[in-house]
Amino acid sequence: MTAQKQKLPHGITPYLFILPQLVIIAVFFFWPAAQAVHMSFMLEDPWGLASQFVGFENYALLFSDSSYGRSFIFTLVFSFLVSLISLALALLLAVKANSVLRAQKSYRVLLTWVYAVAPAVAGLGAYFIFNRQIGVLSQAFNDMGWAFNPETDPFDASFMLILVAVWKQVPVNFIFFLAGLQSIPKSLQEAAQIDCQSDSKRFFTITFPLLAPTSFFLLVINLTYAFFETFGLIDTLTQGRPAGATTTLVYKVYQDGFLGADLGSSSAQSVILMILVLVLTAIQFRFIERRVHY
Amino acid sequence: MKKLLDHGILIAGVLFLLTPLYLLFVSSTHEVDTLIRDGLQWLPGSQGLAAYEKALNQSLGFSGEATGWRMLFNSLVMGLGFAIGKIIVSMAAAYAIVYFRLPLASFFFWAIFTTLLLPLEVRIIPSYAVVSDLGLLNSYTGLILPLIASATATFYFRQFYKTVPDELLEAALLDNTGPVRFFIDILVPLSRTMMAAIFIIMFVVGWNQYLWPLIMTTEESYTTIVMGLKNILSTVRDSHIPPYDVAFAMIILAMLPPVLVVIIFQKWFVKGLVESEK
Amino acid sequence: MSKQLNISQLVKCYGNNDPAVQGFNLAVEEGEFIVLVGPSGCGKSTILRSIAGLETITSGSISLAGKDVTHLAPAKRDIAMVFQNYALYPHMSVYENLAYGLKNRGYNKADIEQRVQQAAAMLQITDYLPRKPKALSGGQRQRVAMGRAMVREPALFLFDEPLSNLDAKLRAHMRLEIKKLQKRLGVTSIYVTHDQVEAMTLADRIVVLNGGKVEQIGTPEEIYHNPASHFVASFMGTPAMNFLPVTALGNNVVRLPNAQELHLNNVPNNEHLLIGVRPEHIDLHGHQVKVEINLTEELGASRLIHCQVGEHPLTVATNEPITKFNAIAFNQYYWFDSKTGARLGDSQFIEEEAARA
Repeated sequence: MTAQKQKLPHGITPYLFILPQLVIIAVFFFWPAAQAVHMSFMLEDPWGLASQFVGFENYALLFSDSSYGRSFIFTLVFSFLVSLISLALALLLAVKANSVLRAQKSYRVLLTWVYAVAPAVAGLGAYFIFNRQIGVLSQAFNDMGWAFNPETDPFDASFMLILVAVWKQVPVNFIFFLAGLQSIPKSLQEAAQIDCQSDSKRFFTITFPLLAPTSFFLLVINLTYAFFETFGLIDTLTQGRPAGATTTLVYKVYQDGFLGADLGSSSAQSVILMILVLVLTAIQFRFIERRVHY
Repeated sequence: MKKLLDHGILIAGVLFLLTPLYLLFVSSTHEVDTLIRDGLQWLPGSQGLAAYEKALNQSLGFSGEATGWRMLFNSLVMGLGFAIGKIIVSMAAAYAIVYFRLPLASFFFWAIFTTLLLPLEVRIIPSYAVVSDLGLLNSYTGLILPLIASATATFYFRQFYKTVPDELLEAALLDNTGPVRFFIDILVPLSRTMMAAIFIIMFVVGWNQYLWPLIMTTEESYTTIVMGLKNILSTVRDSHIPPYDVAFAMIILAMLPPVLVVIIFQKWFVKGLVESEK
Repeated sequence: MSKQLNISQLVKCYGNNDPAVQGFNLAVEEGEFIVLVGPSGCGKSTILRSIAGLETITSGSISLAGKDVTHLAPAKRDIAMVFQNYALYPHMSVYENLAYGLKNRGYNKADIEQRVQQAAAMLQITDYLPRKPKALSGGQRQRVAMGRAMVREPALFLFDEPLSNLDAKLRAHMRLEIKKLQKRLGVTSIYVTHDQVEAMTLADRIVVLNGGKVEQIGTPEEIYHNPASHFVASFMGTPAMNFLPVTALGNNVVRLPNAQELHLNNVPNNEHLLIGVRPEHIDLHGHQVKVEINLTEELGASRLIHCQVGEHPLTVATNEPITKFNAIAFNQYYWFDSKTGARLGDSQFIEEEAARA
């Protein structure tokens, strides 16, 4: 039996304590979420004067819309690439930072500060660095014989977006990996050192398996990041250009809802995203449950 | 030899992260003409911090209210308000969940828990409608409150309270402590490091908000510096002589406060990040 | 003397499990030092916490100083408790830790100051009053925890394994301090421990618990010399009592595990017979029971000799300089039913033995 917290006798006090949180989430979470579900079944005229119930028509339209399918695929590919690349880079850096003795603290600070940079700020910065008039990178690419043009070439635009998203995401992963590495008991590392000569073999047979829970958990975090928090990045860097080739699902909700004023479709997209996140979270929780026993 | 390779990899990583920032900063000290003619610069220019003075004092919008200072102030309000509000609300809620046997406890728990599932981005349009119905557009309250409607910090404090030894509460009960007193006299002081850690994270998250302020503020006096970047972008795009120097200065200004906070409070920041995601 | 604390028919169940405490009764005299002892899960902590009011009991009643406190809040019971992990408020200084309960009870500043200083002086922690608990050693924290209980001048002290976080040497020292302090203050005390040495040295009376039930209540002497059951006999006393299964052959003759037949006194008529002999009640010069020596543990003043009777281990404690022997005799022994764990045989024998000792 796990020890249960001693409970306080209570009257109205605990309700007063929990009330602010409940009110805020009721008003700003449950109400809007319910509205989104509701609106996804409605068709509103362009002036917002009348709306009628249309069942799953908004969903049906979405699934037959090739641009939505493209956005879906782009989002998945983009998210997985960003997650995998940034995880791999971060792991490499964390392992190295954990093994060097000199300047460890400085490395940690220098490799984590980017966490504090807003995606929108990163996006705008990247806009100038990749800019074809003044940017250094497009220049460099051109010199290498690559006619780099993110304004017209979907591959170039995606490449640029992924690079910046990775830049932004490496520090978070680095922090978690380093924390994971440092939580491996020293005695265990020493035992491994006695049992196994080769550095790389030791890493793959001892360290990496021990980091596996962290890695899996980070993968989920990274996917969520690539799904949602890259909004600011996309809005400042490509705005979905060229021709919607870099539009993620979240960006499309915003585009269709706010810029296109198609509330029904935008809401249906929101609901689909909710389901996606639900699935991701379910996976994450099954995993966390296992992690407790790890 | 191996040591050298390790350091080499780490330095490459540091450069990968640092170079863009360096490039933008150094270029911001050049004249616009130089930038238009020769592109981004690798060495400091002649203008010093003049672009920053312009960015801080010049207004970008039409009303003249959205100066750099004003935007920084708004971002500060947003970061502080969000962090403080979130800490207060979630500490109180977590206290009620962990320390009392409420008849509806599991319902409350799941209600709060559900908010973790859906980021604001997903319900952005109906959220806008609600805030608009409540008359909270163009207000700090409207900027901050909907962002607090997620339970990350509540879970963080819930985890922490669970690690507080039961005996402390029992000793307090024997010392004639009531529920409010226990919270204020014992639990809050005990949570100080936790509060500091979560504060750092939440301040950065609040400061860095982009989409939400973009959507719900139409008055320039509420523009935050991060969403103000959008104006810079269109100015640069539309101008004949794009004010690159000011744009670069704005980028640096927008990232400087949260980056400094993270660097200065590195220990708490790492703790907050690692703990809050558990 | 009045009964200071009276517990009757206390039952505590957690959820639908078997009761953790089943019908516990205890009457404590004023100034008495009672030790509840037993293995983990025996219900001793539950009883203590029920007295404190930290557990709501399933049924039964508790009265303190003539007042029924069964349903009172902990703070209203006029008790103080010392916790296993001390439960000092880490963000408060030692002074504030001691003063906090008094402040919450509305004592005035001068009164608080006087009580804290007095307790601190008695515990010799006056120098540490401005410090935080973090800056104290284990023993010092222990004193502070006691101080926090003392300043309240309660009708009853409760100790929940207060010494188990200390190292062996400090534990022995603090044990003595607690005993001295309790005698000096004369406050009725209930002390919970799983360490039978603590129980023997501290208690006026010991309550031995097992599986939520009382096995025996008695003075340390009674518990040692006249254990009521196999469990008490095996739990109390170091090194532990030896037990050998024997077969009664009639006419006070038993067969030992090594097939030897032996004539003993008052052999009960029982199918599942167990003989219990304390290691210190074995005569190395009596040539009655054949043994093989396995191992000797040197303890300085005495030594433990681990032997074997047939397949069964037998430990001998002696301070004689003898290391080699092949037969021993039992000076004193007890009979038990190995099935029920009950003590067999008449108590007259015991009284004789006690009188002889």
